[in-house]
Amino acid sequence: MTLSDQQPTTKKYDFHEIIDRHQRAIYCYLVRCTGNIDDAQELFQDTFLRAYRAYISLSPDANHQAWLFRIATNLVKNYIRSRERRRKVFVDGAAPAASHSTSSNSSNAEDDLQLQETAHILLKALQALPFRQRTALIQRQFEGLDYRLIAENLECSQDTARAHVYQALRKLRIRWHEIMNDENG
Amino acid sequence: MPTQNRSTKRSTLSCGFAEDDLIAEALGETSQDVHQQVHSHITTCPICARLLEQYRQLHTRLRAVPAAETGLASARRALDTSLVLTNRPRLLLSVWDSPIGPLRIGRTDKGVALVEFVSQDDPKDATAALEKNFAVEQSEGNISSLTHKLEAYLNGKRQALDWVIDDVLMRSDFQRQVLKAASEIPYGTLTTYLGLAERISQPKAVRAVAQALRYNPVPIQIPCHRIIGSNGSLTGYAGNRIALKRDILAVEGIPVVQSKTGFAIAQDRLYVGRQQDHIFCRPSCETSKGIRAGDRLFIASHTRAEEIGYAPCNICQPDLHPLHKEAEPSLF
Repeated sequence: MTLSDQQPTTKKYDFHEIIDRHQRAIYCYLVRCTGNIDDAQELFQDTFLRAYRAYISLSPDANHQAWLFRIATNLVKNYIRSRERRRKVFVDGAAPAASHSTSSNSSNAEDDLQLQETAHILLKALQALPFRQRTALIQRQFEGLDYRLIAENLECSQDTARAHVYQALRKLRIRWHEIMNDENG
Repeated sequence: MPTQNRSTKRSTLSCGFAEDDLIAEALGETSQDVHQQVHSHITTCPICARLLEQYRQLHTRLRAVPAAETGLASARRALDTSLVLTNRPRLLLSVWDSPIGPLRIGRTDKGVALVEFVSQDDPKDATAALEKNFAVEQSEGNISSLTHKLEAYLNGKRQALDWVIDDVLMRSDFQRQVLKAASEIPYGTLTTYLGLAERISQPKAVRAVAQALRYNPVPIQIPCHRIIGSNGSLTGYAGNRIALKRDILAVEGIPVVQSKTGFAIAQDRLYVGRQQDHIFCRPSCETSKGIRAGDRLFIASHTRAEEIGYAPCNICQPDLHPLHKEAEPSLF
């Protein structure tokens, strides 16, 4: 029995078609939010599996991209929470303190990413931002979502969504200049 | 002065200008008014001019961060695998201690998909192979509605199981065709592999027919035991459980003898039916010779022959000269 056999015929798109259309945007979003490929792959899978289960009850005129971003964002929220918790346990347990917020897989993943130096610094700095500021900025800056959609994804007002983006940029600017000054001095 | 009426909390710089307006300007999100205010302000305030430049740079650098697609292809493959697994139909497995030994019965939402004689050697491997296509669950559920019928059948008190079947474990349309043809062989009668091949108009596919029957996923319900070799030998059943085939045939009143090459039906004690005109004969009758395999049935008794609508041959008169005294068959 194939997947498409199980899709309700009233839907406009086969679920695989939806994956084809949005996988790139969702995947890149998750890489940016998590800063490493292993976690992004896991969340990618979770996002679409969750979407698949909910697809049957999704309204036919729903915006698929916004819907997928909402699911992905919720998963990122849980992911960041559990990572914070893990890190806390780690520190409390007197294990070597992580020097930065990226996970232990990050060095491998970063090699894979082969990012330029500044891109690398910026992505790393993004990981230090709190969940809302981080996802709001990524959605705005990279995925080009408007504040209405970001607000929907984060379940807040548009003004608040904008405030998250601006706050994130303020922190990033400071962090970036610290690093630049370190290098120059 | 920059506008103050837009958002709630606005951090102002030492010069009194709102930093948010500089950020908005860098992102290209300012209204015409604010845009002009920013530009007139930075001509006089070098701090804000530098800040705006930094935000612009940051914005540009962020935009230049490449999209990381590394790992997308493998993530997609993993997702596809998971989706297939998510879609597996449920298969509930129960084991029932039947009079002919433990039977594993597998049910889907649609019906019985599997009947298996539980082997002592590989009880686990058998279910492991099913995991690929099914979400397998060991069921403690009540299957007495199925087993009552099966028990009655094995006691000779019922001729058909009438289970609802799910053909999901059948391997091909050819196998479905063969098993459908096998299902049409009546209780207490037999045909040969060649006979079945002829019934589906593929007289050369004898071996393929035998293979299709060998992998019958629901034996007993689909009576592959009613198909035998052309020389009357039982050949095989569910692997090497040939004695089981003998026992099941005995339930249906088919006499089986031990020959040099193994078990064989006792042809001298079976009537021969001609499907074409629904006549049945004694095996010694001249009329019974030369009936095409696909047109021939071996029938356990003359009462059975009459039950399925066959008339006695006028020449050998099997109704007047029965082969043997007929008793109610029951093995168990």
